[in-house]
Amino acid sequence: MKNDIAIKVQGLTKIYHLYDKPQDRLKEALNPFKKSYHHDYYAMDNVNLEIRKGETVGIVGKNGAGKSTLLKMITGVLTPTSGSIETVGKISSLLELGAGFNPEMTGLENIYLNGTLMGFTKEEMDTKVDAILDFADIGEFIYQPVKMYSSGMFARLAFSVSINVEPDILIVDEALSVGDMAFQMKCFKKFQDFQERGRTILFVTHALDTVIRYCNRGIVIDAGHKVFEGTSKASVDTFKKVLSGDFYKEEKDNKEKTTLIVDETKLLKESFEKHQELDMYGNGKATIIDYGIVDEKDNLSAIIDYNSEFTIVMKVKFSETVMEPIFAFTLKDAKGLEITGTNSSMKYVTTSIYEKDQIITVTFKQKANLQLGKYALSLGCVTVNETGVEVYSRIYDAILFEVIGSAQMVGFYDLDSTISIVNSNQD
Amino acid sequence: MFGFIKAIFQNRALLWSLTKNDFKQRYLGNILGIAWAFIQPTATVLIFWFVFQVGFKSQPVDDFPFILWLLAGMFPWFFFAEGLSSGTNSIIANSFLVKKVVFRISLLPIISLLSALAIHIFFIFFMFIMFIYYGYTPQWHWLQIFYYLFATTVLLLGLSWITSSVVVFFKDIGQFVTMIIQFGFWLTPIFWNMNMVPEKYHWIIELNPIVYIIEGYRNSMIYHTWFWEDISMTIYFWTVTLTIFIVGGLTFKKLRPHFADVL
Repeated sequence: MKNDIAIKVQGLTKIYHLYDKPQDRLKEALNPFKKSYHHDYYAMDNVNLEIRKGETVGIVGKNGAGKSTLLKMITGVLTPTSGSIETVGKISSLLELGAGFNPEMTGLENIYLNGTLMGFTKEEMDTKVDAILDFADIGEFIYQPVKMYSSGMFARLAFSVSINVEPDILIVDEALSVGDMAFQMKCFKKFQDFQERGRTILFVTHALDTVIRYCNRGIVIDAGHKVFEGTSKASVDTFKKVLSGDFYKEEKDNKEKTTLIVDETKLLKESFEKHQELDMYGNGKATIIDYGIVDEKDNLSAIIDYNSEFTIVMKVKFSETVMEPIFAFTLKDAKGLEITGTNSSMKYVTTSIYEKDQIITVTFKQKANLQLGKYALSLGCVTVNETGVEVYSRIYDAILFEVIGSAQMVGFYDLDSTISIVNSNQD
Repeated sequence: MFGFIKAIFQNRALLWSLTKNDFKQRYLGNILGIAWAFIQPTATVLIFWFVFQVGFKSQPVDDFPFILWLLAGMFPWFFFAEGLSSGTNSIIANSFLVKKVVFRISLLPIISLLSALAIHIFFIFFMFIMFIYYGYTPQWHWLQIFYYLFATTVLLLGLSWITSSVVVFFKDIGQFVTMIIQFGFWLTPIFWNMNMVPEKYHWIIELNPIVYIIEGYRNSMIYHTWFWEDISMTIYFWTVTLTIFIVGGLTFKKLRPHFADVL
């Protein structure tokens, strides 16, 4: 192994035996003719990976793509079915918050317990405990059983332990989504500190902007395969394609650029993950039959680059004659707060009279100069008459999408300010 | 084998603190805490003493007060039963560690065993005190207890390696072990004397390796015989125990990589 390699993974494969019934496992184990009762599931299929010392690598992929399986195997908790993993240096992993924490014991006792599990003696832990307490910043709660902690305190303590034991390789799985803003900032500061000292960080996240901001490199995992490896930006772009399904299309036919062709057989909304809290209602005079978000490259995507142009599309079908309806959308942030929205009436767009069975497509085109994060899109088709608002069709939280990028701002959106500094001394 | 002893030595700090933990954990949340570990068996002994000594007026066995004779058989059985049942559950009970933290998992059954051992050692001294209280002077033979203690530990470790690793895949083993422990109590001459059984059936009872231990405790405390005086039993015991120990070690080693997959 070369000197500057921290983690080297070769031909890593993990096969799970899936049984239809638990008894099948017993039957297979006892069967004298070695009859097989299982089918194989490839959680990881022939993955090769090299991570150099001092690199910060982000792993992205869909749920169930095999990211956590990969991390667990590198850490050593899971045993690979075949393939090899070599690592250099001490690994500290945060696979799940507070793994190995005993809820009945106090925070301080848990720090020592975790330390022993990682192979430190009590004396070694004595020297680290101050740094851990300082970083976790949970005050006198440290003398309370961990079960009394709020999830934020728990997260802080767990993270603090794994980061303050001075590992050579830090492996983090989705752990940073917990904790308040201030603590996250603190964590990322520690990350940078780590990077400066040439330590290796490997982490899995769904926060794509984190990958762009902090990683030197990105890896995209899909269905147990490593489908891409490259700069963090390129990885995020690839991941977006994987999400929308365009990635494999492109592989099949590199030349054909996917444009937004209205495919009669496939609905736009099928390209998006159906949101659990999707709520649809209305009196049915008009129905929103389809909707989608199109990014600046004309791909259907639930991930939009910051400040890029994107289009919201909705198709409405009328079931009776409707006069001058209003078409609207609103965006809510992850906390459910309405951030922005508009409608055809506010924008003085005149709509006409629509007949029964007529289908129209409405598009809203705008720039995504929103704070990075997740948003929920709601759509509506209404009218205003003497009695108030008459809702023909409304879909709350139709699509969850994310704005990503490396922009930094305070609050909800960017005013795109130009800053100039002029020396104004009197003389 | 050598590697294993080395690993135990290397991990002694971990073993020690995890055992302490395990010990604390069991009685955590109880006001009397660790005291329960001692109160429970003491209560059992008191009940037996009351029923047999006071109630049934049981006759002394071989000129020894019944209660002392009973204790010498009962305490090693307590240790065996406690060690086996907690050893069997050691992997499942610590699944959060197995799945999330990297360390030598084969230490887990040892940890359960060590905490059962700690309680047992207390009871050995308790037994010594009882004997002295009844007016028996300490004998060199008493020290032989520690040889039998060692023998029990090796047997238990081998057994727990097998049961604890298999139970991960087949939970039913847990029920089976509980049942075996219950049967075992009556099938082993703890409550009754070997002499109650016709001589020609002795060999069936002696197939059970625990008989060697129970008899051994009594030989040390009551009959004052050394273990080499019955060399054939000793050879039989160690053959069985070492076979279990090796099979246990191999089973555990073979199944360990799959623990995290099924837990």
